[in-house]
Amino acid sequence: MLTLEQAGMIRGGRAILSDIDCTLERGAVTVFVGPNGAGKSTLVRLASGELKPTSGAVSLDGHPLADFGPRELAARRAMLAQANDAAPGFTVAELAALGLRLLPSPPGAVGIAALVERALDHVGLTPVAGRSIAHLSGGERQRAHLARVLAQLWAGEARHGPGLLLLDEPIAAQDLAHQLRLLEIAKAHARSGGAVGLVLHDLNWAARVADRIVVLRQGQVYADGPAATVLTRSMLADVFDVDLEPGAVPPAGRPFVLPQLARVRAVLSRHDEGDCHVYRHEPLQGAA
Amino acid sequence: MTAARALAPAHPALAVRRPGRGLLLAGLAVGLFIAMLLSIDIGATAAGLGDLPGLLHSRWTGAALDAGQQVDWLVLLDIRLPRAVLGLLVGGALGAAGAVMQGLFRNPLADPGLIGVSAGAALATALVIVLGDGALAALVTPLGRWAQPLAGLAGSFVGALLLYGLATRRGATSIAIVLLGGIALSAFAGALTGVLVFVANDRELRDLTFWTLGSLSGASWPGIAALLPFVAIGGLCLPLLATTLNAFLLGEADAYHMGAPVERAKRLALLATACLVGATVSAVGIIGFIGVLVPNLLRLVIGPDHRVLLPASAMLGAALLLLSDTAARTIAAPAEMPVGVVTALVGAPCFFWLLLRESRAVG
Repeated sequence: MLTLEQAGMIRGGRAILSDIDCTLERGAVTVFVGPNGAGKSTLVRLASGELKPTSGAVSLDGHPLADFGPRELAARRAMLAQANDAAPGFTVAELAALGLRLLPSPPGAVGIAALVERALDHVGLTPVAGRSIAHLSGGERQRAHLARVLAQLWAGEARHGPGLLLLDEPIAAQDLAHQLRLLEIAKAHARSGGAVGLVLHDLNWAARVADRIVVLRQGQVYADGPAATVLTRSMLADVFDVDLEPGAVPPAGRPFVLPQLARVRAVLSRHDEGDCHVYRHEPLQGAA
Repeated sequence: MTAARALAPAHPALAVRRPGRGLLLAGLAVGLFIAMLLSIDIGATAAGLGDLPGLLHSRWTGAALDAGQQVDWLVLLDIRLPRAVLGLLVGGALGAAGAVMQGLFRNPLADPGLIGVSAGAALATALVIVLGDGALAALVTPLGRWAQPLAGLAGSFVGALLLYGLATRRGATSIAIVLLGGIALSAFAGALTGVLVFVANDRELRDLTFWTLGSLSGASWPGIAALLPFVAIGGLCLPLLATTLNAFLLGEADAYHMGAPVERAKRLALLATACLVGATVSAVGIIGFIGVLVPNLLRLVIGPDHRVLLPASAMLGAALLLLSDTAARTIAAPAEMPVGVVTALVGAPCFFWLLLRESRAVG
């Protein structure tokens, strides 16, 4: 769906990315991993069109990204950035609706309400829909922004088919259950025919969710392929400067938890008001 | 509407628009209308709205007006009405321009008066007043009465552009630099204006003083006609900007991801504020605090949605300026206080209160 060809990015005289060849396919989750400063965020920002490559080309469905206006692009791809501002004063529902009104053919009031309801349900924020963004925790705020991104993605889907979903470290501020929940949303989008590009730090989550892992090192693609071929001892040594054998199990008495095996239980979420809200929970696929 | 209501989400908090917005806008419109009537009714002479039916009746029937009636007619239709219309345009422009600037700079303290945009307009207008028949005659004379508003527009546009360029790096605008740069810009423009005062002759000095005080007393129909196109252009930009400014609240990158044409919107917002601020400053001088106070007070009530905030700011700004002007010319009647003094007297304490609220919220 989205192709980067020999894409490079030079900023302040320093090459942040160089010679990136990479395709985000429909139906697949592509995960970008790499140490800090490897260029992961810059890469997804190139893919989103926010940054223009200083060399090479980026194209969406065969057309150069630069040919799309910002509105047309917003109907075909949605992106959750790494840092999300508080946007003081908006309620959660208002924030979730924010990305819908700038689309080339914005949905009507009824459509907006439906999309927002569905998006908040997906990220588990329905009970706090009327609360001000400023009063949420960091993790909740990030999920509120994700709801905005999902609503935008689905609104565009009605016209252009499943679009491109780009998420830059979407689970960094989330607890285990929400990490699982959010990544299952990304997987579900890929299964429905969209393309997904994810930046993740946690290699276990990457291994669980990725159809393909792209390893970046110093602005270049070090490896690109399914988790089984990419997650090797030599990669961990070369890229992350860590000596570790993938699949090695710690000795007895040293507990570990692997997200690869996690499943969400039926969720009961309690909130400050004292009353309990149950949010619907679609049965999730088990471990990948 | 009924369909929307029928399909409204079961959870009331899911509402993506707040209720009562229409009511608030209607209330503001009524308040503005009353402020308008008051400013026509009250003044240094006894003439008031109550005289209007009689006057209109006499005019309609062709009966001759006696001397007193002629004065009343003049006071109401050639002095107070243009003054009320000018107050409406200027107050509305200042309120809306403040809201746009705050949205553009993503900071509630951005105000054309505080960040030097008004000072730029003031300097450019002073240049036209003082040098208009001297050094700049070749440029100014052909423009006629358009020279002053055009100069104000250019001055505020340059000021806004300068600050934006100075404070924005990689899509992030540093409000500290905006405010500090605004101080520098205001001081610089003020100093240059001072130089102009120094070289001005008596007539120019009178024009200059009259105008730097920030007063609506120069209101006239031709002056309003020269101002109107600029306020209209600025006003027409507002509906185009509202949704984009909402997206801007999340930062330029997120705004772009949501489909906002970021660069175009910034240029449009700068153009709109330059039109609104530049033209009004050139007409009435610098009137402070409307632009920063009005949108902030409204945000407390209706939230940050610019689709409501912009029209509400325009209406409340206009009402506030009309009431301030009515007070300014009646407190010490028949003498007149500059309206800028009144808005500052009311506005500065309110501004302090807002800052206190902000610092409490942060602390």
